[in-house]
Amino acid sequence: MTSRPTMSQIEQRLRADAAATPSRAPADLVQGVIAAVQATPRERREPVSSPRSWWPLIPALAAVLAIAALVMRADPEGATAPVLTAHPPAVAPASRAPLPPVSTIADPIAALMPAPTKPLRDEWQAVNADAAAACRALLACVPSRPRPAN
Amino acid sequence: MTAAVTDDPRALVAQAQAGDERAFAELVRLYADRLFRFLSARGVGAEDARDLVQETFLRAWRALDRFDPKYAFSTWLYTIAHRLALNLRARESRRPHVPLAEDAVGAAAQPGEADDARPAGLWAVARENLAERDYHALWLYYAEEQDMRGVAQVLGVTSLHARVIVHRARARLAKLVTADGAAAGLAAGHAP
Repeated sequence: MTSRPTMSQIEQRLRADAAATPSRAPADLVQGVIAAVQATPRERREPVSSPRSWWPLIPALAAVLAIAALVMRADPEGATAPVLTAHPPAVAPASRAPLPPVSTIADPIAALMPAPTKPLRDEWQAVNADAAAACRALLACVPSRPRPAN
Repeated sequence: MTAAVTDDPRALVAQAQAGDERAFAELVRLYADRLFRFLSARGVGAEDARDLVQETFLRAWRALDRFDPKYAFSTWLYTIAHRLALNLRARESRRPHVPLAEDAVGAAAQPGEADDARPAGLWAVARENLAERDYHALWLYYAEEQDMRGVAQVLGVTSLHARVIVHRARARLAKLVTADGAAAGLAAGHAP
């Protein structure tokens, strides 16, 4: 009856048989490989800052700018949906987005609030004008299709 | 003036990455035999093994900038050679088999090369009876002395998975040695 070998015996046997396996490559192989290597150019890594590496980012940057423009154009009261237009109408910033008086908003809480004073309205309109100007500056950066010549 | 070529693989790789062709030639001398044996043990014929050894070194040379020195250079070479051998076998399996005439077989045979490099003894039992991946894992671990991380990298599995593969393959081999009469003789010869 044969006894089952232990794991260490198996390991010893595997190592011994592997060591007994000839490992000599053909004599001319090494010289052939070296000659082939010397005739082969290396691949060089492209520098990270090369202009080509930025090209795929351009659409992503345009998308970020467009989203930023949308966010800035959105009505802070949430009453109107944001609209993206490539060519904003040529109107004066102050008159472009007039806000309704706060007292006309159908909001029961607002109805309980005292009517805003004139300095507050002026301040809000100034903020709105600044936001509109920033929005137009961002939209100018977004590429758009050329207008048909009339 | 170029730096002196050492025999430390890590230093050689660093020198080769800096553009020293002599250092890479030294790496070829260090690893060509082992790669040839590795491919022969997989059953790759002598001529194909020569081509694959050359292709492995060429690919390593071209992509040397991408080599991560935190891994062993030998592991990287085995990984490239393993994939090339898989590609070769896939190509051969798609190719229709045409039996050669006897004289053509005699002309193509290269006595003293890969046929001699085929492993014998317990490895022959392993090759006959184990799944291919299990055999490769055992060979990498015991014959090429790769650690489990290296075995895992070459085979494209996790280190834990590689450990399981090696353990199961070894256990299966132990059962085969007792079950098979010829193989039992192998085990008995090494019993303490």
